Amino acid sequence: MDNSKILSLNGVRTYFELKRWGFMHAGYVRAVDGVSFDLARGEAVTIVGESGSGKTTLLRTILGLAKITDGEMIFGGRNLDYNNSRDLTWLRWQVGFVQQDPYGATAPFMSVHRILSEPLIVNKVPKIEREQRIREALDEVRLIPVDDFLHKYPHMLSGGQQQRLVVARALLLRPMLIVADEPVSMLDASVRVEVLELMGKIQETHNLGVIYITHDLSSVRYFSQRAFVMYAAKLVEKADVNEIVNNPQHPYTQVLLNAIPDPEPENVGKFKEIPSGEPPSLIKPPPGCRFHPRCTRKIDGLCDTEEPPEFEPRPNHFVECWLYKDGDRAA
Amino acid sequence: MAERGRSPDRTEGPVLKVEDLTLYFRSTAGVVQAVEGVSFELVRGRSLTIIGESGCGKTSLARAILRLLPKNVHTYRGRVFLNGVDVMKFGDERFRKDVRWTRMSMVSQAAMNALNPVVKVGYQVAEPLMLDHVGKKEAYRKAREVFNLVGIPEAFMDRYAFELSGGMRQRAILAMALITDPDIVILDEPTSALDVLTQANIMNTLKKIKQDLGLSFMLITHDIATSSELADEVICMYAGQLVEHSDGQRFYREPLHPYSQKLMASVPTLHIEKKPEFIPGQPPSLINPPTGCRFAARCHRRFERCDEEPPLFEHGEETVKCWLYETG
Repeated sequence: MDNSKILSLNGVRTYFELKRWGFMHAGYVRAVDGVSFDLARGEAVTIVGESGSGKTTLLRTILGLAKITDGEMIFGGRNLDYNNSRDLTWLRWQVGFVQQDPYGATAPFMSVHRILSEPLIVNKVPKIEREQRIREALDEVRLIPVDDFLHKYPHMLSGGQQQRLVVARALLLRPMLIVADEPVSMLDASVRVEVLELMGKIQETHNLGVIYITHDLSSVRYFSQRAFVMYAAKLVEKADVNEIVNNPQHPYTQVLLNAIPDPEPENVGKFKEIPSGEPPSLIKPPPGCRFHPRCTRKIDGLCDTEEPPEFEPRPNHFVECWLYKDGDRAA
Repeated sequence: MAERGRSPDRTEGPVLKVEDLTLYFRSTAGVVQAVEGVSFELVRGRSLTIIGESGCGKTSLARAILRLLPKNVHTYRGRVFLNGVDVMKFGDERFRKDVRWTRMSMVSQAAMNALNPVVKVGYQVAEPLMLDHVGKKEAYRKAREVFNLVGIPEAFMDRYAFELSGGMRQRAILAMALITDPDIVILDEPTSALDVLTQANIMNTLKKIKQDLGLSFMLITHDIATSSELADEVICMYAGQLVEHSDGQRFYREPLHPYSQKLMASVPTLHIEKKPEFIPGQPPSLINPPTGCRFAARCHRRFERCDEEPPLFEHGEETVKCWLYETG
């Protein structure tokens, strides 16, 4: 077992079958279509994509909540069989989940103590150990003094505290990997950084793998090492965060980054170049490159017929785009 | 669109002037001081952004200006001048007829779900005019015009809301707000539920409308990066009070109030290398706000004077509610 790698996905596809009149096959929604990547221990990656790009389905696949249609997922050295319930139970033990909306993710009628006990009871952790783990987790997310918080209910906590509670819950079972679905999108700018810093610290102390899913690259930029850009169910670009930000290669990444504003007074009079159209349907994706109908640099006869494979125009920078078929020619 | 319908009382001077606007709500826990003594002026054709954390009274301020109040109002006072006329003196019926939606309209939060699912979009956009006794034909003609303006194909007028994407729905709501040729459109978090590309697209449209029609936008948002796209002027609010009113060109470079400074430092930037910071602590409760400066407990530049409530100080063109600028 390769110890440095905790998760690898090889050509993972997750399709949802569409049925007509309840039984007739009417096609598939190709929500995740051929995704491959490796994640090392202690590494944080960000998956950036628009809504409908399949990033949440990818996350659900990693969590074992959606079944893989094709491809393989190796987690902690185990090739997971999605039909084996023991594999799935083990997987869910090992992967912590930080939800997007902390208030929606905690039961309003349960106290903090109860919310944190639940996963431990379900996973049959002995009672004496439970108390200790709950205290440790709360202490770790800085909900201190712990005794003040144990008997509070979610509505008595501020947004940032609620989100930290959800992080504490994800840590309770001492997972190897944490996946966070837009962990700060519901929070105010002033507390976002606090939650992200906290997650970064936890990641370091426990040497965890972390996968952030977001549509806003700027907020997680300083808290992850690599970034993957997802468009229409595929990872179109994979590289270091700084590399993606400073040298985006895929035309989609370029327009996406260009659209994210920085707080600058010059923005007032400036118009941005935004591609027309919308992301394609995942039921009948366009042939060839999925971005070609919106792309300003498409090569006729190639981009609209053949799907681009992965090219490496710069070291450790992978792009699925025909522009780079001759190495690092295009800029 | 050169001639702009009915606007008899168009005068020079500020299109909107708010003086000491105050709005308190009753709640079981006590009186919530949602908006406390806010005053500002807005010049025609300029756009104003109101920023602040959630719960600082941004939306309440917009609702107080448009008099869209819930039932549990405790105190509602102050003066709102629209084109020089004090509209606070108007009765509810006159306000509804002559001000709300005819001179000032609003694109509310979660506008995506604001469309009626069982009525065609074109009808919903034309409806405000038809209620205003404009003929159906004329209303539809005008609706087509605003559809073009906000960038929706005319064919979409015959569609229902569920047939439109999120960005298109947002544009339809905007069309609804524009159809009466208002002087001011209040946009309450117009893009927060949208994707980055759609958001940038809508921002482009808003800028273009502002250029072409010369109307004033009031953009309310907690997303400071987006706010800069439409900010001729910026108002920063904290705990129900206006703490800084600055020119946009200045605010994003050099905010004055310590809270604005901290807030700007917390904004993550993509293209500029800068590690964001967070503001420790939480905003105070609006039921029993602290006496003195409301930001004092979290402020990094606090001194003895801060136990007393600061007035609004003039600092060049800007106004700041902070003792640091006492000498001007």
